Amino acid sequence: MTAMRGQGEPAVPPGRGDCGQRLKHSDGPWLRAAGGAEGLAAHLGPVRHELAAAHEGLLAGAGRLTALAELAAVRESWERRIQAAQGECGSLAAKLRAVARTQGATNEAVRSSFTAMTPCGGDER
Amino acid sequence: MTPTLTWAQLRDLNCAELEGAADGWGKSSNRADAARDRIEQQLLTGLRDTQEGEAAQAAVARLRQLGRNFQYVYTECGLLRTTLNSLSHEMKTQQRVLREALDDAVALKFTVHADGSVTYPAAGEGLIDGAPLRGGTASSTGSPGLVPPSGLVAPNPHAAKAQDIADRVTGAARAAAEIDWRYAGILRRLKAEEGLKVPDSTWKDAAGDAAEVRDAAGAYLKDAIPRDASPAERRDWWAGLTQEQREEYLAVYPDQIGNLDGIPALVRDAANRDNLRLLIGELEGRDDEKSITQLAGLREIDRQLGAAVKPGEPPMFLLGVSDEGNGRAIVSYGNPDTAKNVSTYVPGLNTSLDEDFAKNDLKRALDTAKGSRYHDPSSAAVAWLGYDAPQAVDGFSSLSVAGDGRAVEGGKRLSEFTAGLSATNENEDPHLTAIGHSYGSRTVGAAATQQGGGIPGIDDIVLVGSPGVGVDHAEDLGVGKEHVFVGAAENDVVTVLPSKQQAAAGAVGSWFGPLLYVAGDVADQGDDDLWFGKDPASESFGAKRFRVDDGPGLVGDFGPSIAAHSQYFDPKRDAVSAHNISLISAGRSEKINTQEYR
Repeated sequence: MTAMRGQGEPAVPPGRGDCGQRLKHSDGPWLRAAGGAEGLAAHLGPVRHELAAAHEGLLAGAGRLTALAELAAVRESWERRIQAAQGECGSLAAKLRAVARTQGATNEAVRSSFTAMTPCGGDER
Repeated sequence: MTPTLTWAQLRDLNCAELEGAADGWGKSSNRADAARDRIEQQLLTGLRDTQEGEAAQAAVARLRQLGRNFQYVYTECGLLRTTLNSLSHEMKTQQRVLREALDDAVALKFTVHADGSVTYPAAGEGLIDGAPLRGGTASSTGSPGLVPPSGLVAPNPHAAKAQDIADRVTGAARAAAEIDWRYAGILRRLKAEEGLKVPDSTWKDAAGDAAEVRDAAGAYLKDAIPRDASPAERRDWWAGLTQEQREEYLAVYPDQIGNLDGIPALVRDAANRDNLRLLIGELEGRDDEKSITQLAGLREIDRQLGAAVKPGEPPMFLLGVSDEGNGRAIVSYGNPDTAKNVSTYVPGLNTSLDEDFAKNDLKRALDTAKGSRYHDPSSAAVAWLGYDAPQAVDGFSSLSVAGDGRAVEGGKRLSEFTAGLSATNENEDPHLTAIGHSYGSRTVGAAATQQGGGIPGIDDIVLVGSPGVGVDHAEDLGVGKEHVFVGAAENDVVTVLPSKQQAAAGAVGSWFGPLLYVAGDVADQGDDDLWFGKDPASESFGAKRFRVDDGPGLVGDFGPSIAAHSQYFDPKRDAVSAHNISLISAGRSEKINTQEYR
């Protein structure tokens, strides 16, 4: 069990908040969260296979137990739940990317309107 | 219920396969736990701290929900693992019984039949003709063997042995069938709920699941949690467990591991975050006043745990939580296992697990932690509600109702807690401080005198707003009188409570009783006895009195008030007191501002 929680410094990218005219949104965290959500989906990918492998011998050998009939249904229910979570990770990742794109466009629009006054060098992505 | 399982099926059951399946669930549980951590530490942190606006809030809400979902998956898959391991353990026990019976049968040349009956050969001598007695078949279903024993016929000496074997074979098969049936029921209830959400009702069910698995797994997790051992022994016990064993204890007994002194802070914190969810789920459905009050307190703690740590502030560790008595909650600001300085604030009169505690008492520890870390960054501060403080339902007369009892009981718990801090602290020579406020100072006093050598591990004692500590001299507290520090605001009503003798005259009866005491004081000039003994702020007590603000008076800033009792830790309302407490907690007591004795 990973016991550390709520620790650690906020993962703010260095050197990205210093241009006075930018919006509070910066697409760094959005894209990073999107990448993180995709990573989570991948992290959950092996679950179904791992569970199947772990139960392989069981179905062949100890299959006489009533409890094992229940276990099969239990396994199906958790595979569904974890699959749903995986789907949510994918859907969240897509949404987070979309926000990043929108914010990027907004920032671009805002930036161009300010370009004349305050050039923000090094802010292009 | 007519479970059936033949002895041959029991014999052929491969329990290693059950354990293999258990491992699979353990992996799933760990994956879910890791997923929850990643959401908390990476995904949420970035958005929570740097984003504003509706889109960010919506994303944070969905991520939080996903995180709770993983917590649920982690908890339930962990229970599944233990259920299967426990099923295997119980089946193996019956297999052992069966195998011994079968071995005995082989040794005696008996035959065990598919239905569990046992045939034995001819043996012995007949009483009349001396010929061997006929063999027969014993069965534990109640039907007699071929030759029923009677007074006239000497029994075949094998008969009783065969009967015993038949009983053991059939008994093992029946017990195994019963175990199978019981675990089928447990497994049925461990099915996942559909979807992604984890409403409180689901947590309530999860609490029930944990209790059920715990009942069933009692025999399996037989290395019982060493509740009666010392905190140092418990630390060693935990250190000696395998990773898998730890995970199982955390899955099945999070409430016990989370609240066990001697277990490392990080482990307690992780267990208690699960406990918190389970407790909230449990209390959610209840409508009695105590549950509603505790639920509000738990929700507030949950909110603070979920919020981002502010820059410069120490992270929060939940070292204890339960609904025992008036409720328990132990929160540390800063990791008490790695910090060199750890202070433990013991709250007093009227404290219980409620929203007020979760907001105001925790803030006292947070303020102390922030202050101490200014002087020494390696500092943590704990708010310790590990006992039932007296409740002032009847004003100060509650003190007479509570008397010393709550302090004596609380003192034992406090000693155990600080012994746990000492046991798990990783510094060579940690500096520990006990801070008693109000009745909490009486609790600290009780802890200090219950065993030789004072409170385990405690180097410095701070007493604020004290109605007396139960001893008449600072040197009786076990740390040396130069390590006992007292803060007593001139207008703090509790620090001028009359002694019991004075109260016996009938002067005290309500929160405003002490006003009457002022009149009593006029008649008893120079008396330095408080409710629980000598006034710790008096010269004869012998502690160091540190400077505090006089505090607001009741009328026209004059006279004792309850407001002056409640600001010792507040860096805004009583900066000098908060500063002094922080210095002592950080091991810099030589720098405090002192105040003349009363």
